[in-house]
Amino acid sequence: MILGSILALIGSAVAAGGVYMGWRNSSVVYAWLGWLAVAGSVYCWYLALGVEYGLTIGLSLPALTVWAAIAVEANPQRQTSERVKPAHQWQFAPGQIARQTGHILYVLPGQMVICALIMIAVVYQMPVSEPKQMATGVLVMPVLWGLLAYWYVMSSRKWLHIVLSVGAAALAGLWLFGGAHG
Amino acid sequence: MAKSVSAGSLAKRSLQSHTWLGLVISAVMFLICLSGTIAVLHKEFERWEQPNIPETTSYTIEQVERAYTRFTEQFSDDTHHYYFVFPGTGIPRLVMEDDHRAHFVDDQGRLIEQENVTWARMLVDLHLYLHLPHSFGMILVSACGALLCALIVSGLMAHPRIIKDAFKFRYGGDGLKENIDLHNRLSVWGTPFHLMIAITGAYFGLAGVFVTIIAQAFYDGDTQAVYDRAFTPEPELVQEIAPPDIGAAMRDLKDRVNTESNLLFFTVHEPHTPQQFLEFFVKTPERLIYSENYRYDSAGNYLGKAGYSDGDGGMQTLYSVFRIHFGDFIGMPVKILYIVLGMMLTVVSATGMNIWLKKRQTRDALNLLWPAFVWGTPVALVASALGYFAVALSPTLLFWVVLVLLAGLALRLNSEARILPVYKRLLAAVIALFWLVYLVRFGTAAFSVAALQINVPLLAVAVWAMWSARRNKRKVMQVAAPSAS
Repeated sequence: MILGSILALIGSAVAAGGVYMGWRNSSVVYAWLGWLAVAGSVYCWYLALGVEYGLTIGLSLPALTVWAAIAVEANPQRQTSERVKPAHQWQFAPGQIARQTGHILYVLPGQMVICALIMIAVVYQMPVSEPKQMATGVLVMPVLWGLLAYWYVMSSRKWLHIVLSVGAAALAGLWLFGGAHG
Repeated sequence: MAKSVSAGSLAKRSLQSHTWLGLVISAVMFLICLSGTIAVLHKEFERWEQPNIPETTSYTIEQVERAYTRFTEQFSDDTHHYYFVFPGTGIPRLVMEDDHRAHFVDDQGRLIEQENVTWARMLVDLHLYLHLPHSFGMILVSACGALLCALIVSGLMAHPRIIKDAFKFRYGGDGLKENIDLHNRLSVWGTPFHLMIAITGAYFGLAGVFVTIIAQAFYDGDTQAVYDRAFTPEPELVQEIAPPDIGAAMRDLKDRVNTESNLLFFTVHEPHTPQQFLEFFVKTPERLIYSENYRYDSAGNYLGKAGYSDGDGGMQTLYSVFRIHFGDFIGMPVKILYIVLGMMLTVVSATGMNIWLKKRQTRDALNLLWPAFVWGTPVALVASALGYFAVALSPTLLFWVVLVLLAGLALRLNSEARILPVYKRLLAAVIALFWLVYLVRFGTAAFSVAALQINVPLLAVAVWAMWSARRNKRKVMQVAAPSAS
């Protein structure tokens, strides 16, 4: 296990170097070889530690191994003083505060309920065992919530987002609590 | 915000979305990330809180039986569980406990000092609940997990030069580019780890919401019925009320599985009732599931295993979340990996806000309070340990009081440039003072492995903080010199 892990660690470092070389030479071939090496290093971790530990470590490690290459590319900037900025003029704007509070309440508790209802209704349609339905739902829900929050905040037509999301949640709620699921 | 989401390119709108989401949760996210990173070592902190307890990795069945008998005779309060914790948990100590108290066990099976994990619990509670009421705090922290997913997606979408800048790092200058590059490099390359932490972190609070809705929709509000579907239900027993035959159960378990260094703990459920049963939690090598559980009746007869290692895939997945999120597998190498990666996520949280502050065209108290909060949090954590070990002050109360005082100090300093060196020096000074207090409090035990494995890295942090403070100060003077001339 220890020898396998050391070899896998070397594999991860080599893979990061490969990706860096591809990036530095702007070469598609190098880049693909680099990414293949990354996949290879994950496979080495799998061989060394088994599929569960291996995947977790193999996928997390590039976040560390790339820093040797980033250090090589580090570029110092000329020391400058920060510009003296004028003081911010705070103005009490109740309308703006209410609007922002509304957005926060919608994104946090609002979308939590919306996502939970949609997710449960969707996973309970899946033809798999109930523990699998629950596991899928509870682990995918934060991703759905994150995507909906991202879409809502960047959307210029928030009313459309709200209508669609609340509508989908209402349908899901109707199915869950209206007895339609039998 | 209406203005911030006006029409524009996808990248621009994603950046605006990323900024808004980041501003909403930045302070909370920073606290969660920093406390979570430190809490990876929560077991080591438990040992460090009581370094004088004798440590061992071996035990005998007779020793366990004696400790159990003594404990149940001494503490006859109403309890729904008794637990016996083995060194397999990663803490080389034997602990006998019920729902109210825990005592260490010596090599003769006698109960010795009561377990006290006040500071470690404060740290873990900060990470799990932000010291808020537990149900609300856990949902808020889980919501941050979901919003971290939103930040990851919006951050990636906001980065059109993601490949072109993959290895770029500019440092120095006025700090803006350094913060931008640090934030982007750490977050892009750390995406798999950040997603993993966000999803598994959200699980702990969202599971409760999920269970409540499923119970209402399908099980007439019976939440236990949902848990019984997701995990293996408790056995239904009808038997004479008698003390559990722990020895018989442990001997049988040893024949079934390799318990050496894998046995975590056992629980006696519903003691002194006909439903009483024993459950042994045993680590499964190369698996992320928390344990496989082996069950015995009061007479020590094997009832079967829970099936977490080979049962339904969904159940195995749910039972693996804890070890994935807390990096509680393989041992110290993975803990170190999680600490480094967790610190990177903490830096991402801090630099995100730094970028926003530096890009702003104006300044206000927030420019002072944010660096004070970032650098004041570690000072407050060490100060809470200092006050707790010195005069048994509540670490939770002390943590927040010190944080508020440091915010006040930042307003008084009224200079962003001075905050960093002052707070870093303060951190070094508090750590040095803490070392003294710890030495006085524990004497020779302060040189045990349990103490040094925390205190030596802590001293390294103090040395780094002093060095970094000097560097910050020199930089401030270099920048100030030309402008003065």
